[in-house]
Amino acid sequence: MNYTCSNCGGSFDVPETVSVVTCPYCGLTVNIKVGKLDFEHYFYPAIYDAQTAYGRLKSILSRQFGVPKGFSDQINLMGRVLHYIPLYLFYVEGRSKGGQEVLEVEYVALPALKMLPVPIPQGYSFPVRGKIYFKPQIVKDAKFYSPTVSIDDLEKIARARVYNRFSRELDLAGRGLEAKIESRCEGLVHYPIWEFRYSYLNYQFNGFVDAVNGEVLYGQYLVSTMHRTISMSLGVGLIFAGAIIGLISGLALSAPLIGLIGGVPPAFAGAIPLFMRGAYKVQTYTLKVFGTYEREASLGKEIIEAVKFIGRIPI
Amino acid sequence: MSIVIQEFKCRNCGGKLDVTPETIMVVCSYCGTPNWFVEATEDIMVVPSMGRDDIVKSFLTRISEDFDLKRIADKIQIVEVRGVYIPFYFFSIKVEGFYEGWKTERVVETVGRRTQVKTRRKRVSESFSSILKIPVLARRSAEDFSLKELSSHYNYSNPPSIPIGDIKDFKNLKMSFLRSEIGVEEASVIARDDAGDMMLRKVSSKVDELTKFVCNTKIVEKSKLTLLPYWYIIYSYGNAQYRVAYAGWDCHLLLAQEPVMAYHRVGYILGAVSGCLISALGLTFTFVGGLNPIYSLFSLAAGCVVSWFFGGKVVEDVRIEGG
Repeated sequence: MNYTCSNCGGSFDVPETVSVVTCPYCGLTVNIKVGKLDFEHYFYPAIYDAQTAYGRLKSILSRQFGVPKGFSDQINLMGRVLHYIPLYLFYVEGRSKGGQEVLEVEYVALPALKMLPVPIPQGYSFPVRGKIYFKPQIVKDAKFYSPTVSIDDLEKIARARVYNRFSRELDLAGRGLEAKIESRCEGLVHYPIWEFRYSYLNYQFNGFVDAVNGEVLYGQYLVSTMHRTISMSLGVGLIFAGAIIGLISGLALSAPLIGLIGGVPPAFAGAIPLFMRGAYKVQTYTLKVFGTYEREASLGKEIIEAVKFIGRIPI
Repeated sequence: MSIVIQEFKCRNCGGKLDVTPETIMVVCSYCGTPNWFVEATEDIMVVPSMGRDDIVKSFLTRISEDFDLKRIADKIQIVEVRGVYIPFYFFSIKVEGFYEGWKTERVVETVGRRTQVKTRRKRVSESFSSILKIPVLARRSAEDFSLKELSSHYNYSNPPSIPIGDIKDFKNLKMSFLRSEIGVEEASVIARDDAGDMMLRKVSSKVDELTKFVCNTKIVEKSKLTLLPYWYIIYSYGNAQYRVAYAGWDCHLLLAQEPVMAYHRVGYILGAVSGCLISALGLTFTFVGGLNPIYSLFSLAAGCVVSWFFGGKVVEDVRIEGG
């Protein structure tokens, strides 16, 4: 089906299955069945321009382990695109009716595309910075995407996300409770993400930067031969160290073989990340959503739990 | 369909203002008058922020004192300093209820001359009642680097706040204000949900298997919309950049990204080696001492986890330090 934009006059093809479309030229979003939009539509302006965003990408790549010296100064920018990704925002509320109170609420933002042109990390929350109403002048030179997933399908996904936690809490509160999950669409947001294509020696890479908060989502880089050799040697060295330490502690208690068996497997586990770094010349940086800090805190907690559990085992 | 863009003008001089749906207040760039875009400014509280220079000073002090940073202090350069007011609601919530579950216990029993250790599953049930302080970020689907630390530091340090209308020095206040997207009613539903979830996590850690959890939540006290000052500094070391976040009212460090130096990597390698030691010793002790073989499995698993964790850190690009 062909549709002509009422704002810029551009015409484009629209799949039969969707009703909300975004003009790829100017970004105007309408419900083509009713001629307007039945919920709010916003844009996030790209706060980080191409140059600053590219600078952010380079600075993140330069701090990676094993990146060749001067990598960020020597890469050539080959192309860039500002992608505007459609996201639907939902409010989902699960509530028990009468009797015991059980409550679960969440705001969920879901990309409305079947195939995402940009790698958005799982669980990525979209940041706090001003969104604005549609203005044709702020949105030129960008690539707009019409939602290709219907709002109903996405709403089901949003509800399912809350359902899992809600049903567990319902079960714990008591059987036979009547409950209901309600949801509503809070609007459509077009969200900007920069894509950069760059080359180094004979290699071509790409990287993605959130244009609202400058967060680098994804970036490829090269690991120098020297660093690959170092990581490989460290990995091998760790395995040997594990074997020797195992052997020594085994000998101390006059069971060398058992000591060896105990020392080697952890050494292999520790060497995996080192071998991974050494095995591939092209490496990928991806944003860790929950942050290293939180992961370490939760790992620490799990270790304490495990130690507590060991204490309960009969000797 | 035509797009109508409404123009906003300064109430004092009529100059054009750049207003977005996010705007709470905009200072006119021609005459410096603050223009408000909220109905009642007395319902918004602001925690006054220290100035940009104080934040920079606090960062520079950290560089000169921190064990790792002082070694590279001369190569560190500040790239960007930015401050923003972030809207929160704070609630005091009374949680009351009870839980039931199973707990495994180890008991030592002496029968005649024999001492035995037995494990038992014990049914536990307990009621609870306490008051929790819950922050709710008044934005949808939004979380930035260290905002959680910002709200918990607010709860901890309890700084004074003033009505937003009382701020005088707008021209020198180089911070943007973020509008709230959530009303107090919605925020209170979120806060009650969070309080219930927090209690559920707490009791889950007390038992091995939770079979019943009943929790009623009641709002005891709710704050007005409170804007907290949040600052971050981006600094460079070599070609790479790192971020440090501060609470604006007392320059308290929230989270800091720092470069991984060669001596850290050596330390991580030693950490990975210690994983091997844990496992080897655990296995040998279990075998030689004739202990329950399950201990050997645990020490093996623990050794692998420790070793894998430190092995991963060897090739990491950044370290995170808390305040």
